[in-house]
Amino acid sequence: MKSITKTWDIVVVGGGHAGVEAALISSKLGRSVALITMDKNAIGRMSCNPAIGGLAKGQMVREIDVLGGAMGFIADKTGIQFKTLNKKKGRAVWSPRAQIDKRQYEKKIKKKVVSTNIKIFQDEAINIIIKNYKVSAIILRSEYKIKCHNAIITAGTFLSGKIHIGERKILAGRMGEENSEGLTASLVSVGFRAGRLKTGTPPRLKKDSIIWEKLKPNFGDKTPIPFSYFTKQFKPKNEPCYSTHTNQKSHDVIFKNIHTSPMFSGDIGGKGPRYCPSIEDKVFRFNEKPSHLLYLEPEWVDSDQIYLNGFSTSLPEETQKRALRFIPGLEEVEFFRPGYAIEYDFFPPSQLKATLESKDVSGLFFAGQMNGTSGYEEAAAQGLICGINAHQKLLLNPPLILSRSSSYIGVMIDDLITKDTLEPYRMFTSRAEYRLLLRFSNTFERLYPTAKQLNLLSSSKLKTIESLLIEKDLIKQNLNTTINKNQIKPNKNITVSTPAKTLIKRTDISIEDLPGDLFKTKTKLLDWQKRDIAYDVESDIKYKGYINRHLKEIRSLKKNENLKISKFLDYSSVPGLSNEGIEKLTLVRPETLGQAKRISGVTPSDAVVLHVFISK
Amino acid sequence: MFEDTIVSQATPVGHSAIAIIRISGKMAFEYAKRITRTKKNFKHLRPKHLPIYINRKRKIDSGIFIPFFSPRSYDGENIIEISCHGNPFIIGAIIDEFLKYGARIAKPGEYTKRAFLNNKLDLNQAESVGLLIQSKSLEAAEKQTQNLDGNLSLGLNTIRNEVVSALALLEYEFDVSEIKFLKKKDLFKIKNNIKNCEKRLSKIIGSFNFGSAYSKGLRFVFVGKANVGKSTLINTLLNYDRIITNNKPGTTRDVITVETIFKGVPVTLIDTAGINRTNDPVELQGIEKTKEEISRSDVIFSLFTFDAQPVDFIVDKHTINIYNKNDLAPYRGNKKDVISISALSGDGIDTLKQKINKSIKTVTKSSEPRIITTIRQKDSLTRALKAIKSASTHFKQNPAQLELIASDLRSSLYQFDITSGKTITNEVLESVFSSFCVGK
Repeated sequence: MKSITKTWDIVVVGGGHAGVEAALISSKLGRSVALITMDKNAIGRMSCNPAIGGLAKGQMVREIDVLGGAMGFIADKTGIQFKTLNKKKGRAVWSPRAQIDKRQYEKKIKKKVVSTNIKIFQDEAINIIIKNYKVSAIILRSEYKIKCHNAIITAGTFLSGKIHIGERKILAGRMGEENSEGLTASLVSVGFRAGRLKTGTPPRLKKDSIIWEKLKPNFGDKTPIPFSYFTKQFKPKNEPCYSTHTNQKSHDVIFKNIHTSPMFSGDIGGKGPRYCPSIEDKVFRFNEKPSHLLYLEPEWVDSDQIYLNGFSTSLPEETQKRALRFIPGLEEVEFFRPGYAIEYDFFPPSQLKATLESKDVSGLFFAGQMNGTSGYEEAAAQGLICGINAHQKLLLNPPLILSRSSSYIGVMIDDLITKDTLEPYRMFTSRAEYRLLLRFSNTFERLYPTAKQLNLLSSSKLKTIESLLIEKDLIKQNLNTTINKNQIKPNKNITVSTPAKTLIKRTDISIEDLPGDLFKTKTKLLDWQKRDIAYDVESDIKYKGYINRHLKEIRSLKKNENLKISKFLDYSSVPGLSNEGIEKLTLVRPETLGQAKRISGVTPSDAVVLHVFISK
Repeated sequence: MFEDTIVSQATPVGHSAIAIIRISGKMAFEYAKRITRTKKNFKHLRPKHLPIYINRKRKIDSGIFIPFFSPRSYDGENIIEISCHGNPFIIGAIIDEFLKYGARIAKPGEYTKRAFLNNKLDLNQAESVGLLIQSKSLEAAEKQTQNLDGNLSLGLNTIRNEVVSALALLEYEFDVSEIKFLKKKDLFKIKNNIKNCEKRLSKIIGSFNFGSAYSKGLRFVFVGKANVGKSTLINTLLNYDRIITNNKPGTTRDVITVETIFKGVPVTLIDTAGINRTNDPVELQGIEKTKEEISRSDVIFSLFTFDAQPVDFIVDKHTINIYNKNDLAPYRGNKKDVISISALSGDGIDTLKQKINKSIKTVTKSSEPRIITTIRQKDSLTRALKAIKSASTHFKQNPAQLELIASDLRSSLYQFDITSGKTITNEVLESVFSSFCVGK
């Protein structure tokens, strides 16, 4: 064993979206950080779709931004098309999304990591050394021993990763990259439970094999909004994506060959994401739908490689091609590489605390896909929280636990540690019971106290957030102004002069109908920021009754939410718990009554019984 | 299964031919074997006739032991019901013996609470158990039996499921379809479904008056000046002399209540002191009491005669105006809603009884087969209805704010779960079961 004398504060295993955020934030907070990655060039790689954000995910990207993460800012710099989804629906569900130049994104992230004093080891972590229930070192393939106080494991799909294309099986972490075999065994040997999940990716098409004239172009928004509050220069490109549809003939090809898909032949044991199903899944399960929408997305500017969104598959390459060639525009399609499914090890995250640290091994944190999530944003958010909490732990500070009412990140982590993971977890707005509170536009307000208290932002960035808060206050004050009928369009039917804030409550009146003077303030903010804040004030007013009800509910829940439960509680000695309740509670060992209540399989009466027991 | 084993007498205390003792919990069978000195195991629902010993040697009785195996028992635990002779000394000795073994006395409603905690009953059903036992008429008992069978829960679940499917469509719109998924006609359908839920739910809530009339009974208060014959009328309605009457005014000096049943509805008849215009402090107190009774009552019987006007402080409540003593002087007024009777001779009493039946229908007004009977149910369902109504209102606006509709529907689901006890706090649990009698 080769040894390095230095002991790092934090060692991050994996250089994907989770690993990068974990390493960057902890280094920024002043910790000594080592990053172990199997391929230096793959740091920050977007392994699947060339997009960031989307429904509920866009909200998370901005939360990452306010909590000091890198994803939003770099996405703004490398986005080539920005679009707010759900724009026709209420503002609480508006979700920004951007097409990203993958190469640029990877490059910029790498540059950022390299520019810090994070020590990078290009190697494979094969063993975790645990002493007295505390992590002490990571052993590398090269037999080096990296000593550390905390380790954050973000292995993605690399742990025993196995790629399936029809009957072909390749051991790999991603196409063309080796998988990692040792780590799972090392974790299981100390008592961690592991499981198997699968995910998939669509084929990458050759640009010049596509008949573009037959496809419909889709552009982004004309006035795009960036993810990051700290993006100053924002004039992104607006590169189109193109759409087409599958049809009956291509479905027939898939249907006839469905037995060759490893998911249907039984070759894949791991469960796949229900919300991002493979094309064979869609054809099989939604037999009545005559066609499915496909998007052709450029992977970078002037990319010769096209991502076929909506056609994730593990069918044999020839079958993929044959099915696609019935589709308008793809009659002569050629691949750079076929779609594939990948199976990998994950660790049911109910083994973690709300800090994402292991319940049993002090200083060992898990983030990203190995926690059973899917998506860059979900991974990045977890990495960030791990980095912050590892830092807090070293300083003996209280950990950062975001509540379900504060953020989508809070909802996600709470779900992860309490709910069974039967398939890759993806964020949805419907997972948040306080959706109306968790808007994209009020992220600064929700997370400012946290960012400030934990020093997650530089002072100049904090100032930016503070001026947003001031702006919001000013606009709110301005809206006390009384408006008469001459100041507003006649068709709005205003008879008596009314305060602006009362007018906005009406569904037929939006802030655009009000005189522009009300929104002129002296704060130095960017145009989009001013616009964003005005909209946010409007949402606050329009949602007021609902928000108050939410707040009331949150206050009433808070009372018992954080009642602590001992890690050593013997649930079988609690009278009145159901058998399933005992089993689940014993397995998960929730930290608080709130968590206990939300564990799947724990009934409300179990929760009551437990409450009575622990309050004794 | 519950760690503690609980025991209590299930039949009323006192001397009787047979009494039943019930013992439930983890050690129930073990204790039953010990008290009978048997080695053989019990079998589910297989009764056994066995001797009963105390202190392992004194045989004090013998009885029928009926075992119920968890979870196929009333409360989901292991239960043994022991039918023994109904002698308080025997029963006391048997219970004491079980306490010595380690059992404890059951708290009021504890068996039913265990049934709820073991998922044998939902909260609506559990409540109807208590109400069934306390029912004051056969019809009232019948209603509670229907609820216990799950009639109410079923009705509420159907509505809840419709709300869930409407919500699912909306959530799909927010979370999956990046483009617009719900067409105008889909929205129209959702809107109608919600409207429908609103109607059905408000009908169920409307059954509360009816339901509580059955479980708690109605209050009929008889008011009028002194000596108009209030007590006599009550006696006539009861068909026996329950209240002392006299032709001297002021025979009834205090409020007297009598329980009876009209058309299956339990009714409390309240006789009040007659009101005269005096400054007698006792009478002033009487007036205050009468006013209090009026405010608590469901139907007011306002009596007057040829020589006494109706009292003038009757509030806006369902009132039956009665002209009494028509055997002395026939009614000469022209008010149509006045019923002319003679409480003494019985003239007009049939008409009055018909009127009373009508009044009961009006006051309880319900044809809803599913009735709610507790304030707790009414409160949470009223909140659910309020949320559904708010969702309906949002649908009327153009464009409808779907995210607010979704929020409303979610709140209503929360309230449905509170009603059924799916979401419950300890406070609610305690208050529901504390009103039960011991042994149930």
